[in-house]
Amino acid sequence: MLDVDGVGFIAYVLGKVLNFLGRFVGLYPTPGLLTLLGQLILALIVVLLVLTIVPGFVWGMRKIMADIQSRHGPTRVGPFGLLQTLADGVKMIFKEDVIPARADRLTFILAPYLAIVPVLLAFAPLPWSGGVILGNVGAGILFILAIGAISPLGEVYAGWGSNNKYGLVGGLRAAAMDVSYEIPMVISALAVVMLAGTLNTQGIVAAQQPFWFFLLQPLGVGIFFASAIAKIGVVPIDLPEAESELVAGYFTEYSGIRFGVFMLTVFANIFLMAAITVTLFFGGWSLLPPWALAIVMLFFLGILLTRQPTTTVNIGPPALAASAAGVIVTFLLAPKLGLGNWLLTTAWNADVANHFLGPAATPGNFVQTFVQAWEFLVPAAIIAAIVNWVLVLAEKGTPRDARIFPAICLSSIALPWMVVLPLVPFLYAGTSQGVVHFFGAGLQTLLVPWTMTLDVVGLLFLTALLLGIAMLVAAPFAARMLKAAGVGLAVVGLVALALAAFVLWPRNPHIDLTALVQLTVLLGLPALPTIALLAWDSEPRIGATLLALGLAVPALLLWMGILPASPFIVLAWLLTGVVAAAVTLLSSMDDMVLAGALTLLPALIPMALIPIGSFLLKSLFFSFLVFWLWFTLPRVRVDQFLRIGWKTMFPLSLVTLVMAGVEAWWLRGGGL
Amino acid sequence: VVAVVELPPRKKTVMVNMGPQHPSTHGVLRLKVILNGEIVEDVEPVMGYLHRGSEKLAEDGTYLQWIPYTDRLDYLAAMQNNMAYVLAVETVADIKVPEYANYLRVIAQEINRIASHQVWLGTWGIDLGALTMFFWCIRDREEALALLELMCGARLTYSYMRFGGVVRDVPPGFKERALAWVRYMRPRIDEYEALLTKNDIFLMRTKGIGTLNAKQCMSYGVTGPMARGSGIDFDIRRDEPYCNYTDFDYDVPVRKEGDCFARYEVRVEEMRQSCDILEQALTRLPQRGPYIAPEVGERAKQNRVKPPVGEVYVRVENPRGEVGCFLVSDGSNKPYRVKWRPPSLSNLHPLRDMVVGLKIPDLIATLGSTDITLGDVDR
Repeated sequence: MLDVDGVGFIAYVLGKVLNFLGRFVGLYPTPGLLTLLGQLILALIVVLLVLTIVPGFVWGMRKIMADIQSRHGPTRVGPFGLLQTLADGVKMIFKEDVIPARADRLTFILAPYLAIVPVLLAFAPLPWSGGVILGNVGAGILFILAIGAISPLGEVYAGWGSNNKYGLVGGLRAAAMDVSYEIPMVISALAVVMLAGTLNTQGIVAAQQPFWFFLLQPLGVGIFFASAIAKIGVVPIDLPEAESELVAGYFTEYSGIRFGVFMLTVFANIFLMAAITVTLFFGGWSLLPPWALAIVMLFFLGILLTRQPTTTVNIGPPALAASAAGVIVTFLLAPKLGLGNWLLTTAWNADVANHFLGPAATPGNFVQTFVQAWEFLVPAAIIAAIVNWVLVLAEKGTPRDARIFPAICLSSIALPWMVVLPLVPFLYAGTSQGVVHFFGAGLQTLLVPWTMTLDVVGLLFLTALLLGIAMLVAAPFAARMLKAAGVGLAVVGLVALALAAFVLWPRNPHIDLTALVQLTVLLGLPALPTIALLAWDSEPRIGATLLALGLAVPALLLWMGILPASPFIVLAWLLTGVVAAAVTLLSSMDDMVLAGALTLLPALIPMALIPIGSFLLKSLFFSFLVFWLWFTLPRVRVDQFLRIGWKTMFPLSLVTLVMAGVEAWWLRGGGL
Repeated sequence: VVAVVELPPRKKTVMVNMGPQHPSTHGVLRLKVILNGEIVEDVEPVMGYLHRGSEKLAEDGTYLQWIPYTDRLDYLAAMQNNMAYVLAVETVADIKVPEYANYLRVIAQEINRIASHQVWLGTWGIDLGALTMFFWCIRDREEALALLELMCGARLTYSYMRFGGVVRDVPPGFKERALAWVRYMRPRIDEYEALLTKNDIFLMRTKGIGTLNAKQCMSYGVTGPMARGSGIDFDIRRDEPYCNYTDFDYDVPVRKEGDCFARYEVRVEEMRQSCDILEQALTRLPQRGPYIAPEVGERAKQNRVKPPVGEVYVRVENPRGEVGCFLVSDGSNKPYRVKWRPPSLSNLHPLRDMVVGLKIPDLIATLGSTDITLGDVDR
């Protein structure tokens, strides 16, 4: 029921508006029309999302590249250089449009569009969540692969049409490479199709419920991803452009926005390929299993904290160790303490519990409150944080670094929670449907039954997301702006509270005060420590006191049982820590990447955005892998790549096909 | 009636002008490459785009006035170029150099050698597609340039050497700062290797590519790391010592394979050996001493250097190989003739032998591994 059905939500809102307007005209919209309009608007949103992702992506890539290479990357245009891509785009549009005199004009003009349009079209059948999908094509994966295969033709056309020897060699390389990677790529995708028994992308995601396919097809992932890098065309396999050999390869003669279109193709392709890899092998939009989440979080945290080991204080390892300790302790001991009655009040499956947790997890033991988990986990996390702090101080403490210590400590408190929270629903049902159901049920205990698909809490978290972005944008201007952002957060929280009360009140006359109190805590919590940390800058003592109060008071209330420990309170507490961490970092203004990541994380948690967030996060992870390879590896030679394609990847992809056959037979109980 | 037209036979090859504007020619070098698809059928380096007539200019000014020109021949190894010219003049004029000045000369040359190898490694990384290498090298080279700036006030065109010594004493604190950099550099060199030496793609791209045997090296006059990569155990610092290189304990790395990878290994090992020399020289550097021979004197007195009639050929080990200076003196205060023997020119000559039959990317990799400076090739 709470599955994210964007079309339904938009249609609902549109219906309200149109029905209201319809009174004056005497015309009322039909449900069919509303659905159609909803689909159109959603399509627009996702296309805009794709077109927004790409410039942000370029910026992110340049920042990551700069970080690997001990540089700053773009810093001049806009805050943190965020608008650099925009500036580049504007520059490209206004540059002279040069078409070489002896070029084949038609081919030359056609080529960029031939390259970009298939890539954009291939975004259509990508499932962002259960309900958010642009075009749910029956043969979705076939559509993606088939239309994506047109793109290299653009490179060949560009190479040929520009009447340039470098361009020609680049175009021919593109053609030669295309046949070498496309076949293993399609075959390794075919293995997934065999396992899933469907070509539909949603079907493939749904089929990955017990096991993500990368567990069944480890070889297939490798082949698919290697082919994907070749398809994207970045180092180590950027042979068609190979700037040190062929100047710029197939787009040597391109300038201005035509060149920009080729660049756009590359970046759209990076995200597309990462997204397809996720869809085929890593469970698509379904939530991360806890172990995977832990690994990914630790990986990211480690990367972010261990930046530039040669030039700055190395705070990564201790922070990482403390966080890891928190996670491990949580995993080992949380089940023994019980995971809460709110879990039981939904629909606890004792068999699942026994299966995952062993005899300790009998229903008897589980008839304990989640508060008990709190009793252990909060002190454990705080101890981890203190250990972390001490370790960091012991290593090397300069005033500048000291400013981000609280943030690191807070994040190490937050981290175990990030791991525990998704664990619970997975134990409950082991499927993403379970997650939705679980959160839905939790919502019902908090709010009145609410049929709207995108709920108030979802909107709230969306606000948090927007605020996170706003803070990122505002940060470099001045601490003043940051303070304004903190105050803004508090104001928005209060306004949202008033709105929520206003929306809820007429619908449920029996609304009780508890829900309102909970909502207040939920909305007020992030504001207090944020303001506290802002005060830290000028008045450290007041700031520290406020921060301690902001973190301790709700924890105390929860501990004493005055506040019921619903998942939303927990989420709010988590949000507090993360937002506070982000603000601290932002106010120190020198660790933008970490701050951005931490600020945006809580916004990915709420139920309305869980699938999209999980999909985005996973896709970004694989994009990051592409960047990482791009900036650390040398380039292979063209004949070497062709040899790898035909002599290694192609036979191995056939092996994956056989593997998939056996596994499919086994999964279906040995029958056909 | 149908006219039978004899079509000319279709050419299978295409001629590509790589350079003088191309990302990987490291300057204004033009390569006339005959390609058969990806395969390089023939290659002819066309040089002279950066010819400035430096040798002729030497005859116009006093002995001192040509020192700045040597900076601009091989601008990545200006210290060694200074050294070669100054050494030639000192040999003809029979000027004794004080011990302290010799130490400073060795320190300057070895810092310059590491900096030059860093530029080579970084740009070669770009040639191979490993972009990050360049930034790491340039990051660490920055301090080398700062040290050289402390010594002589310039970051690239040093003009540091003078007849009978160096231009000025090092400032206080230089020794500590230089030692700190040497200690910083050692783990950085391991870091460079961590990025490349064990990388499969890097090995695929460099092992067995652009091979040159010892005999070819001899016949082309190839010197320096290129020759040592082909098994020729020859280093002028050790075999024909100048300054006080005999005082230091260091190895001369030699590899037998003669391919791009062997040259890479030799140069990376040379950076380590330069660190060794620097460490010894800096720790043993006397507190004070005459940095220039008193009988010659400083500044304007340098302009009065008038070697007796005679001629000499001296050579110095530069990061790229043997830089030689043939000097003829007619007894006046101007050189009668200076002939420069640049290592880059001789090292560029065997390019054709190394790459014919290989692919375009191998041509780029091999050209990069020769480590030429076009200012040095064209003079």
